[in-house]
Amino acid sequence: MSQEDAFYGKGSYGASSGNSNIPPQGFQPVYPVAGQLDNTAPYVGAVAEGTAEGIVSNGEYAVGAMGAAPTNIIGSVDQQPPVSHTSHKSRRQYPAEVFELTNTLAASPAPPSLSEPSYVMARTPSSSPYPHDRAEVGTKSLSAQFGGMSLGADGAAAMPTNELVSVDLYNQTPEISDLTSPPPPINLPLSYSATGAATSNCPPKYVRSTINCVPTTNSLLKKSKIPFALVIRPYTSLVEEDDPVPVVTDTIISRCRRCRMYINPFSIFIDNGHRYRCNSCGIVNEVPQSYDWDSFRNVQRDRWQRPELNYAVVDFIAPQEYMVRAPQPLVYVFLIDISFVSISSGMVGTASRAILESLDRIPNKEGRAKVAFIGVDSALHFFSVSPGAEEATQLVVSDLEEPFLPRNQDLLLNLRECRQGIENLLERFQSMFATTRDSSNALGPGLKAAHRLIENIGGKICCLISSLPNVGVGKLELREDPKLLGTNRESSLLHPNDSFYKSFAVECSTSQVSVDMFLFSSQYQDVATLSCLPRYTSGKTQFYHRWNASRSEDALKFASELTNYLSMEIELEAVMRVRGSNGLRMSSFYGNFFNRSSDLCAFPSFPRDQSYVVEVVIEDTITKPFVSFQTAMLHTTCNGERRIRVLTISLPTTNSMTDLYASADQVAIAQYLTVRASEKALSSTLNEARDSIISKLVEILEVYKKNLAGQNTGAAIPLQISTNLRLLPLLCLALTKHTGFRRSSHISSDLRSIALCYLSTLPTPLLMRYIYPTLYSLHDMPIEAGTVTEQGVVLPSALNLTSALLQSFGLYLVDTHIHQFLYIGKDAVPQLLIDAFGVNSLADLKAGRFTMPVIDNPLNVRINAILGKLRSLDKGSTIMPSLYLVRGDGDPQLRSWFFSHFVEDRSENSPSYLQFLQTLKEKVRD
Amino acid sequence: MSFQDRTAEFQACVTKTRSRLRTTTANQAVGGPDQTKHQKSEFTRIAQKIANQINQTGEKLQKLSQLAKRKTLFDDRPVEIQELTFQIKQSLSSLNSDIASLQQVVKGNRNKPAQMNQHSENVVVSLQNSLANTSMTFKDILEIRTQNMKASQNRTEKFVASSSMNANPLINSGNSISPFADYNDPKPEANEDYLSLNLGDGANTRYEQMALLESQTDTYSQQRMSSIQNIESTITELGGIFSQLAQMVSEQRETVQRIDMHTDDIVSNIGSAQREIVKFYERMSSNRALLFKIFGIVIIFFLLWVLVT
Repeated sequence: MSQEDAFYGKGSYGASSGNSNIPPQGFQPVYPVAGQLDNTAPYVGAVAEGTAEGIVSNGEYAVGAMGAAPTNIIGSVDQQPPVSHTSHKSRRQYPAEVFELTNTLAASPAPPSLSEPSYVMARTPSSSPYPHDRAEVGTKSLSAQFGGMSLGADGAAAMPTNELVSVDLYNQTPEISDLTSPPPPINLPLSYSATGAATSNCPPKYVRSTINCVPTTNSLLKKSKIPFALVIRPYTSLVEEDDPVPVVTDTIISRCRRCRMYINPFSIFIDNGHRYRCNSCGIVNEVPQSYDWDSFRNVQRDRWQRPELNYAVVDFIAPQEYMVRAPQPLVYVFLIDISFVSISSGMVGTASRAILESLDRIPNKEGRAKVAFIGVDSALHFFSVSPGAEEATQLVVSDLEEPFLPRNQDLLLNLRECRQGIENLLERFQSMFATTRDSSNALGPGLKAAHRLIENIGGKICCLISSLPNVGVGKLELREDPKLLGTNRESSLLHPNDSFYKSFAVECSTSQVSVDMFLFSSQYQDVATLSCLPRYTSGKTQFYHRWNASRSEDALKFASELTNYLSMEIELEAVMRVRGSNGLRMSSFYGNFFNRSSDLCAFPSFPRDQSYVVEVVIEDTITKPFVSFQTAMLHTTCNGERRIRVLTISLPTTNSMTDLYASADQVAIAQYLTVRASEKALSSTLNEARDSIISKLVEILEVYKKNLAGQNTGAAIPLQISTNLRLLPLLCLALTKHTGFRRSSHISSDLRSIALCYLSTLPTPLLMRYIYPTLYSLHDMPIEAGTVTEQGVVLPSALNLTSALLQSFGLYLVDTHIHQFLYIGKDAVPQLLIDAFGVNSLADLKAGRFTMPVIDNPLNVRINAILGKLRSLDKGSTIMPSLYLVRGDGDPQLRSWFFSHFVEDRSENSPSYLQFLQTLKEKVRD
Repeated sequence: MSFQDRTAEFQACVTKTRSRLRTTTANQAVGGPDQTKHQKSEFTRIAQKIANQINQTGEKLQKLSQLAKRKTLFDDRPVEIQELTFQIKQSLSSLNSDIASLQQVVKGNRNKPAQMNQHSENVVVSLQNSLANTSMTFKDILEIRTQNMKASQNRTEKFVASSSMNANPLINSGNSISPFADYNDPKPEANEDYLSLNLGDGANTRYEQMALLESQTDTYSQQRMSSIQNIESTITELGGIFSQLAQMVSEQRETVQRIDMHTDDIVSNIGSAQREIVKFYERMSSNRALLFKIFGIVIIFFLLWVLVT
């Protein structure tokens, strides 16, 4: 229909021109065709390359070439502004058509002055007489125009847009099943890709955009107020075999010579497959000569079966030019706090035994992995094992001003060669220091010594710390002040207190050293300062609050997480770059890494359980029907292989704000708001962090009300948003009520710091559970919940987080991915207690950290199955949640902690969901 | 790369061979009756489907075997094992019934030639053997799983016991139930919003008051425990401070001694200064008459100057 309208409009132009008989306006009727030809150019290329037959391919190629030449001619004419004509008559259509043909032929003499037509002319047979050439050019340009129009019609039919449906936020309960639903689909036809494979575009579990339809101009993006960002999760499992991706093994890597983007499913092949046009910058590149040849089997291979042309996520095995040195082995240096508090709380014993259990799980296929152990108190205790020796030698360095390595070799132990010595060392590690009374912790000198030990290789420093560092460089003071909590000055407690940890992080990043912190608190631990090292060296921070090994839940949680951490197949010496199509620039990067240059993120080691957010800016007007983003990560695997992981996502473009809002992804927007607010909390104040969340939400609602909501002239103006964004207010409210951002005088700075660390690194599915926990009802769950079916263990339906749904006789489960809570109402009948826990009354249940008993009862079996399923929902996480039992008549502090997760209820400093909507409505009205 | 995957080549070769054999079979079957051909195809199709399903079950068994044989502590995936076990059990039972149905089909065609009957029975027996082997493997894996679960439980108990033995239970023993009840003096919250949810029932009012009293008692105990914790940490800090103080005092001993000597010098110097000042005072007293003379001259000069003007 739109094409017919365009054709009719062109007719009207022609009619007017015919009437006026003005020669300069003779080119106006051709003007509307230019856009269509330009838009359909990728189709021509794709169709040409999709055909394997030479004859048809040549014909298509000729059509494509002819299509390009008239575009250039018309392009020069496009500079003139269009002249509008108001008068037209239908009976003039036929004469207009004739006039159009005449115009086209008249345009033919112009080509000799342009370079592109010369290129086209060169392809015609030189023996033909000149008048024949002219006629041929005219004929082909005509067929190109008609072909372009038909392709345009197909394109319009093949690109449906997402429907924009408005909902009134007041009139419905939030549908929390949307949190686990897929994002709005990316309506990009597979014909844009070289092979048409269903896996050509990136699945949402790897790369997720806040808008799945990109505006063509920056002004439209700014007017829409929706942030444009990508949430990137290069790995979704701790080990490769749980989520394998295709591997390109022949080391033939083709990249655009201008923008350096790797060849991908959306590259456009031309010239009978010998060249391809970059889908990012549009330049033509040569295809490598050996692209179609399998050098291993010495046979011709099918190009269209190559993984990088069929899959959006591939691993390339890198050739020699991508290596600056031999691949680095996997190195772990364990810096273990052996002060009195560490020994007494059982951390040293539990850690040494857990490491001993994990020695077989550390990736070590090539036998190159190395470990080292340094004990830290008021001195540094090194342990030396000669290859083949059965005993370790302890070397004590008391000089903390200039810590030195007491021996040149045998401090870094090859895991396979020194296995016996390492095992004996770990078995006796606890008893060696059992009688210590030393309360000092020289973490700074220990870090320096560890860095000196591995600075020529790179690797991981794993710090297990139970007390505040108080000796040597990097010592910290007890600066926690309860009077500051809940006030504006609380933000100073979240800032680093010592510059050593920042400057040392830069040193570590430069020499490919990554630092991970496992912090066990007896009292104040200054997580805000110590988490600086993991943040800038792509490590992670774990915090075990008031940890003691005599509680089996504490011991098992730490041991499980440490073994998961050690068995993770991390990537080493990695750099990551995100490239976009012409006109797009990456402006901000969020996550745990070191920004080496404006767009290069350096990772001394790349963990598999984190995600990253990249903000995008539109710098120039986009003229193509789709844009591409490519995340390339060059790394060394823990098995000594140099690889490049490439993730390519392509998004259609639009100039309609309706399409933009209909394709917005509320989960990705919430993640972007989370990481941005976390950074604000660390760099300025908590108030600014909270305000940034609310103000962005208000802006979005304002734009929606002004531009997209239906014209409502009634007195009661509803608060409206599109269906795909209807949970965004709830997520923003939950975020402002989260431990990391909530205004409260009861949250210590350590707990707030660790919450901010989680908020800025958790992948999307886990972050959503962390922000908006999942509530299940267990006493009245459906009969199939907790049982095993073809789809695995069935989970009950999630409920909204409002205590109005809680019954005083019920049993409920709340899962935040970091903690799990079992809430048993005070009026629970004894039969429920017997079936679930094997006890006769509430008094027999001990509140607090809890281990679910295993008894031979159907309800107990189902609850245990549900708990186990929730713990294994995501294979890309090392966290084992702590389980707490909350009794309806139990400890008020435990209950207030439990009910603080009910974000739809009003609490001391925050409104309920409906009150929040009312506040938003008032702000939007202003 | 230590090996190259040539599965695609093998499958291509198999496909070619199969197509060649199919052609030969088609040629042989030209003279056969259509009904017999159709019946054989049906039988072969069912048998082939059953064989494929047995193979798929075998693959699942292999994965289950990998998961079940993991002996490392903390490397357990109970939910995954549970799900795989369920799927395999379902597959085995459905396969068993399918083979029984196939056997009925074979018995129903007794009037076929003896050689064909023998072949059909052989196929059925072969499928039954495959299923039996798969079931035996499944049983073995489940037994291994049971043993590994017991061993893992024992090792976990040993692990926890050794950790507890090394740990001092008194440290971090209090206030373990809530992370927010630490570092500060916990102020008892009224929690009106949560408690008021149940006030609608008049019958529960008395129990609610008793619960509140109990909560207050618990709160008081927790308060005392927190206070003791604070006192303990404060005493520890004071100990550190006193140690530092003693160290500073010992370092400054020489300085103090020098200060003492300087003080003695100061005393003697002040004595000398006092004697000098006394002498000056006496001299100033004896010159009093001279002062009077000078003062008189000044006054006279002043008066003369005033009269002249």
